[in-house]
Amino acid sequence: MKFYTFDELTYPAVPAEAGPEVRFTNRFCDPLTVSRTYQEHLDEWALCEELGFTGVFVNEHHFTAINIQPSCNITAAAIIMRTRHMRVGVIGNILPLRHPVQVAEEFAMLDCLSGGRFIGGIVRGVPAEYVSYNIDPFTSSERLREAYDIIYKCLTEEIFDYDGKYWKLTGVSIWPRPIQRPLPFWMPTGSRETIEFAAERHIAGAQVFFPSEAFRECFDLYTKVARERFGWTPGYDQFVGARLIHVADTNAKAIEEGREAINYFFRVLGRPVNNPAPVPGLHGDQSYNHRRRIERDFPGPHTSFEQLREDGWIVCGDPDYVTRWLERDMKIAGYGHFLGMFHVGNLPHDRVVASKRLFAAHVLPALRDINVDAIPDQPLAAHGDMPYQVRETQSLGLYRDFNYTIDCDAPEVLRDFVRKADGRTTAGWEMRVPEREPGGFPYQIIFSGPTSEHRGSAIRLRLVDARGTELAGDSDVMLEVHDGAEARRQVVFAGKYQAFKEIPDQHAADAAVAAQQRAVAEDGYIIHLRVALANSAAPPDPQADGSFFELECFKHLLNVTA
Amino acid sequence: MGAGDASQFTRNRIDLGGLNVAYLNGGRGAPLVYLHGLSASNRWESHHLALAITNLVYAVQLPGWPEGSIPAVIESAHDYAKLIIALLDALGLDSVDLVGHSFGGWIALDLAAEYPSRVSRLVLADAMGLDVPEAPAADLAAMDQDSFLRAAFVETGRVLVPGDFGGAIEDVRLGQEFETQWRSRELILGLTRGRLADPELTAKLSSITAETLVVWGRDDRLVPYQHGELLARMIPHARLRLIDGAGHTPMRERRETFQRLVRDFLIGEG
Repeated sequence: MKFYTFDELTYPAVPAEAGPEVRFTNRFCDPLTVSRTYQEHLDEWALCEELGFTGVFVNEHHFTAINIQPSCNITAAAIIMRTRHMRVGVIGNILPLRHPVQVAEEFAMLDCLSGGRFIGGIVRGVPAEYVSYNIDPFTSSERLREAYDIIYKCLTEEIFDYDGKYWKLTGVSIWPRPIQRPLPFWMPTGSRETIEFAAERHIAGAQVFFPSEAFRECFDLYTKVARERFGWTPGYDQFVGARLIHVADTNAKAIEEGREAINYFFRVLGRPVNNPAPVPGLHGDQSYNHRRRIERDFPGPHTSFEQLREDGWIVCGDPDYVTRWLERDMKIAGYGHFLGMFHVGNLPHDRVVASKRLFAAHVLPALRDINVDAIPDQPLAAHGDMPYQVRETQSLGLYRDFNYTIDCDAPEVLRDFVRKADGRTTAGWEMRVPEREPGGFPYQIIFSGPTSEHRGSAIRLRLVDARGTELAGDSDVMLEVHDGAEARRQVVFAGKYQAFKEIPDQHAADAAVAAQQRAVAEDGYIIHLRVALANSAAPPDPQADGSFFELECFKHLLNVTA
Repeated sequence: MGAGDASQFTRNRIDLGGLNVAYLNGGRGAPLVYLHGLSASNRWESHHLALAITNLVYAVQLPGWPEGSIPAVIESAHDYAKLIIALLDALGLDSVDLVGHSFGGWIALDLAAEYPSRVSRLVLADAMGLDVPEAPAADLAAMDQDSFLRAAFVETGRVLVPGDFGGAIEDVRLGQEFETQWRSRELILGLTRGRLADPELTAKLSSITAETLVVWGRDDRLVPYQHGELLARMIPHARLRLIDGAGHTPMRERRETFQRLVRDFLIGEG
């Protein structure tokens, strides 16, 4: 079992006289109280690292006192800065209300900020959020699906286009990219649709509040769907159980403190400020069929505390009671991650801290060995470690992102030549990068040399004599760039013609000879491609039908703006 | 359009030849008139909100329902249809999408057959009015509250309804809506003098020109689904969709399924 802390970050001071007829608009919100509440929670979360928890999770809701984190990514960033080793996760971002590219960018940032400790999470939100964000709830499933696809591509692909119903994107290549590949994801999976969605994508499924048997039903369905439809078998690590929890020295004290806090919790829960009728479209009628048989009323202020405690809506008691209750719950439900929601409603800070300390001292060690998968998690990269490893590739491809090819007909070509001197014949082509015309843009020709990703940009060359006979392989080939001054001479390729000669089709993928060095040719630079060999009766002829060359390169317009 | 726009509505009243008609109005898009069945609340219901995402909804309260007695000038479903035409004229609406449930479905049928040019798309949900001897509508006059409940609903006990956080358990018998339905049964019995079928209606169905969706709770025991089958056969451009697990009020018992079917039909994806 892995242990985490997770709270609805509840605003603690909605006045008791605000009854059900009162709309909880932000006139009840005192920003200084919010500020103090944030600080208390941050202290409580940071404490968990010291107490040996595996991590902390945060979530987001809108327009409600039950959770004053409309963007949990901000909270996650704050927790990351207060911790060094713990996992920090969100569960999650309300995807249909957000732009998926920004979600991916923030997740990647959080992963880099934390040194690879981040866990991403996605949710669909609740109806009131669709009212005040003015989104069509009937599109929520489609939006979630599409947004997740885009996020996944952002986090795993170098660059991509996307043509969706809700988002159409071109040339997306996010910076930074995440340390963890793949980045782990969690999501709540209470309905049949979300279970299928998560099982297909190997996203860990979370359950909150409901009795142990209801958790079990959902996890069993997940396992069945994963096995039968997607061909894999989830372990304990794929399942998450979240419960309100309060631990005190004695059962009586825990019950007294917990009763008050949970009353407050249910008083402010589910109190949308603008929700004139039940908002349809988020769920299907079959969504909860798998849970109906054992479903109990979603509790509220009308439900007795004893009933809540018995059903596990709040696990509340002394360390011994809590240990026994959770042990049974974990064994029945079968989850491998426990999310303890310690800051219940308006429970005071010192009581939350005391509860966490008791839990860490007595409950956590007793339950640690339950529901542990055989294969342990990969160790996390520590702070300061080099997060990336350059991937060793046996055969690198050619540089693919060129946007320009110079060949015999290119405007840069000045002339071809054959000349004899000192007993050697030199033949080839001379090219020149034009100088800027008045009002025109200058440009650079860049030959991309080898990098860790590719072995250089393509050079294709074939030279024959006037009768069509190809040159000898031991001829010397040189491609260079210079501006007339020897100091700025750049050799792109120097080698034997044999390298070209032994490739039967230089236009086949990755078959061409590659540039050996990166070189940049600017205004007025000369580019020289030539072959030198001993004088012979049949010198090479660049104008012969069988002769050709192609230089793949990048043409970079220097866009000068005032 | 989002749920925000669709949640905004106004309460309106209009005088139509001496009759004061109340209606709720909200949403954006092509105009749509919703005619209620046995239960007529003056609330902006979940199914109004759902329709208002794609349409400008006029949810009419049929005169008589709020007051508990039908005005003397209304003597039939056809009179209500004429009243709705007067409403469209007064509002300057040339043609509308029309959704009618139960008794409202009867009015919608009559209106679509008698004034076909005024209806663009027609949705009939568990509509009354047809004479189907092999599967007659239940005899409302002979029912007590208990048998009425069991005829109208599939699940008469506690039912889980999805909500903002996890859903809530509801019991139809305890709801305000059931009380209204039970009471309005008297109104319909009075208006129709106990005859819940118009033998001439079937012959008129071929005049309906609107694209039509017939949607029915498969377990409707007030107006059996065979009525829906007949409608889908006799109306020229009609399709039938039966909803499992629903009785006479599929918009309540299978809220999400009903609303998705109707919505997809109205936006041309059904």
